[in-house]
Amino acid sequence: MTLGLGIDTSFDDTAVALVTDGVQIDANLTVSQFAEHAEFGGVIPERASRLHVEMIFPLVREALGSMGKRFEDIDYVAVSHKPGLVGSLLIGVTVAKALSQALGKPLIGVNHLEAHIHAGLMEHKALHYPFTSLLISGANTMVMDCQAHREYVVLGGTLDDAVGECIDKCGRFLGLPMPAGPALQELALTGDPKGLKLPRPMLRKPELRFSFSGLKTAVLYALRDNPELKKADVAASLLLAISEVLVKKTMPAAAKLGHKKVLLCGGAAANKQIRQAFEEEGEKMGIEIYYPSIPLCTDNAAMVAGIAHEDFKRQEFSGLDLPVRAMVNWKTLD
Amino acid sequence: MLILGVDTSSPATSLAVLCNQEVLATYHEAHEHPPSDAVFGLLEELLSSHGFALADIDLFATCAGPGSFTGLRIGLSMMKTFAMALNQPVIGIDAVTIMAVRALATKPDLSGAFSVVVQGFKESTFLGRFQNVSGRPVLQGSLEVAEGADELATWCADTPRIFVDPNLKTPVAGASMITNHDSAAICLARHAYRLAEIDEIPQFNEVQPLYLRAFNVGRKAKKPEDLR
Repeated sequence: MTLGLGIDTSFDDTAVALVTDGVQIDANLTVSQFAEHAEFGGVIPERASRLHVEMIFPLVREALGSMGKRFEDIDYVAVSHKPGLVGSLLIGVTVAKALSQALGKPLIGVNHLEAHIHAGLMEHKALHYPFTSLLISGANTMVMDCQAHREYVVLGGTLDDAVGECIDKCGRFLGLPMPAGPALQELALTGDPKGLKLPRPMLRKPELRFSFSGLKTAVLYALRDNPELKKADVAASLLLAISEVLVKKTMPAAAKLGHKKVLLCGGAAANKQIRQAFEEEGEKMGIEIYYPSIPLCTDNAAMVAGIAHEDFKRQEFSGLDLPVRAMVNWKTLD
Repeated sequence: MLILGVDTSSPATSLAVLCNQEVLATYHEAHEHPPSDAVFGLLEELLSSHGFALADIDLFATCAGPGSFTGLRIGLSMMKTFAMALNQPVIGIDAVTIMAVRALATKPDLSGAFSVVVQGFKESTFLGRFQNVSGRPVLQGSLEVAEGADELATWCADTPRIFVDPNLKTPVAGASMITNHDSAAICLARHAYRLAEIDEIPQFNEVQPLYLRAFNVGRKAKKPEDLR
């Protein structure tokens, strides 16, 4: 039995988790700083790192305490070291290095986005390589050819805003509380998805690229020019436009690779309407759709400990000089 | 008692291992851009070359700031983690008290009250009033910040026996220069030992970075419960 401690401080959530044998989630604690940044309408990086320093120690203790475990029981320490806010990543990485050094246990640096993909593998035994994944979150929109553990090729991404950014900003135009995802989803349930005509950016372009900034502007102008528009209709129409573009770009890409499985992951993959749109198309095309449960979709550390278990089995460890990186250099097709 | 002192809040990486007041091993190197990922390797090297292991340390002493925000967080997070994982105490010493330790080393026969001025960011200075209690500087009240030369002059006007940081940009008339150059890690480890001797060890959660801008002096650290 192997006990992994996972740490993720890549953005504005402080997350600590304990995972046994890479799949059994013993503790998965996340403290969201969202309310602390709300007055500014976005995350202040310096404030985020300060809060990470305050949150991380009680969370590590709580995770161990909740399972009656001691520090000596930990077999490896896993931490997200890229991509993200450098000042935030540094807190998790520093704590992870110090734990590794103090306990004499291996340190495993994890790519936060690869961990999001791995979250799907942790929960679905039927999902195995190769498959196509669509990673959608507040900062990312990427379609990836997932060939094997940590062998992911980026097939396409966004030219400007990520899906989650578009959802959050449109949610703000609609006066929804931040983060807007859950509220927008509820609002859309009562709306008419044909109530507002919105563009389907990049849909007719052959390349696998997304663009969501124009959609954001379209919603802004629609609300400005038609104050009588029903908010629920706007929400439903927006999610339909997003879902259609995501589905029509991702599913053919998977079919072209001969993949029979598509994984949705990242925070925006928690959205019901997006999930449903993929399931409908998947049924038509004979492609299985997978997505993690909501606690594993949003930022969490269980996925970090989970993916690192593969490296632990292979004895592939990081050194104490593990750097933090704001960006990731992905393998791409070109 | 074996004490590990660490300060990464300035451009220098400062490490020291002390047995009570005696320095057993030390590393102090200034870098123009200190690499955030180097401190663990430097510490590992220092400890192993002197035959120590982290598990031998009885007390972890770290600089609590003010200083470089990121550097401060790295040193303090590292030391808090060591203390937590190895179940030993951790003490954070502020940078003005570290300078006060040097002031007393400069003038050991100083009795009673004295004050210390430390260079801060740009034109700001950090100020503290101390009492010499059997060779240990004890802060009176809380640390203060002077933004600019005028505020510093006002503060100094009604303050006796001022000791100044050798790096101070604005000269203070009548002040004594601190000439002791013991590294920050040595000074803070010594001071932490003196505090441990009289059982003045803070709660783990009280050891927090001190950013010390005028607006957040005295801010209390939050707990996970506060954000849930």
